[in-house]
Amino acid sequence: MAFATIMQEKLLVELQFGLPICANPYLAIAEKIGCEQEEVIEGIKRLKQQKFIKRFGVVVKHRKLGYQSNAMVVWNIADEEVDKYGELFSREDCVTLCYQRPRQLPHWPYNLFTMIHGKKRADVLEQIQQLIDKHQIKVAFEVLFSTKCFKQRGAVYHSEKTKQPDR
Amino acid sequence: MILDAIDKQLLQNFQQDFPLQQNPFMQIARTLGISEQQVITKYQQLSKKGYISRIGAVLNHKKMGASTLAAISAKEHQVDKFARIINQFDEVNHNYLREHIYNLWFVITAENETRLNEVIEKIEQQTGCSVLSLPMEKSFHIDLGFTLWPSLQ
Repeated sequence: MAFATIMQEKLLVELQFGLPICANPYLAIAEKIGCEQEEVIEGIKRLKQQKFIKRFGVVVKHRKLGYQSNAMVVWNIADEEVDKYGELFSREDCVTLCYQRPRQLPHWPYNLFTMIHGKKRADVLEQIQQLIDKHQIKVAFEVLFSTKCFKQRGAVYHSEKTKQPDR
Repeated sequence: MILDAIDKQLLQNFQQDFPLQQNPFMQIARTLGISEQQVITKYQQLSKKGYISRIGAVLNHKKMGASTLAAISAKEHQVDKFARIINQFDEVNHNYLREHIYNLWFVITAENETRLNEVIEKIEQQTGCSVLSLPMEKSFHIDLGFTLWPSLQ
């Protein structure tokens, strides 16, 4: 782990749980980890610059907000074309995530993963069809709708110092 | 709870670049033309009612140690039990049931590769299922948050 300082590491551990919603949230975090408010604010800026933090802000629960349907669409794309399709898919509004992952043959032949959210299943299916038509996709794919969410929260990173034993 | 126009702006417009200054909610209040206290009260409500999971950092897993998207194939009557087994690990942050022979899909984020493999092994031992592990090789997507109301942009 390539952290610049112990303080940054403590800060990151704290930030993944979210800010307290009060007038001076950065001060509250500073008091919790034992530093100055300015160090928290500058620390977050630095963690963003260094790309430890992808995004800093409100994390919404899209299910609760009417986006009940989410499908993971997995594609088996020829290795030499993954970059091309990855770029194309990621530019589509309906695609909220687009990752390349390894195949695990023989069980799992798919190497490009896209997440598509919609208010209804029919909307999601229509968006997938449009994607296929638009880019004339002829490869094998599968649509994995989610039917239940057992857990959704920020990644919990534990430093060596803060780690809890397994419950 | 019925979301008003201000709630919608609070949900959509501050998913990235949340103000980094002493009184962030004051800054938001100014852009919306309401009081700081109103902003705080509204965010507290949105949080309490489950519309937001947090105001905080979305971490870059790739720089944070080790992570993977994992799946197991559970029989229907075992799904709830296995989901509980998987959820007991702090390293698991997402866990969804999906329509597929691989039906439980979860994300594991650990401080290093060793711990990641340890969690996978424990899940395999406790469920008796082999875990399909699909770590990210490349991200084509930049996380800009989620567009809830396109007309608000």
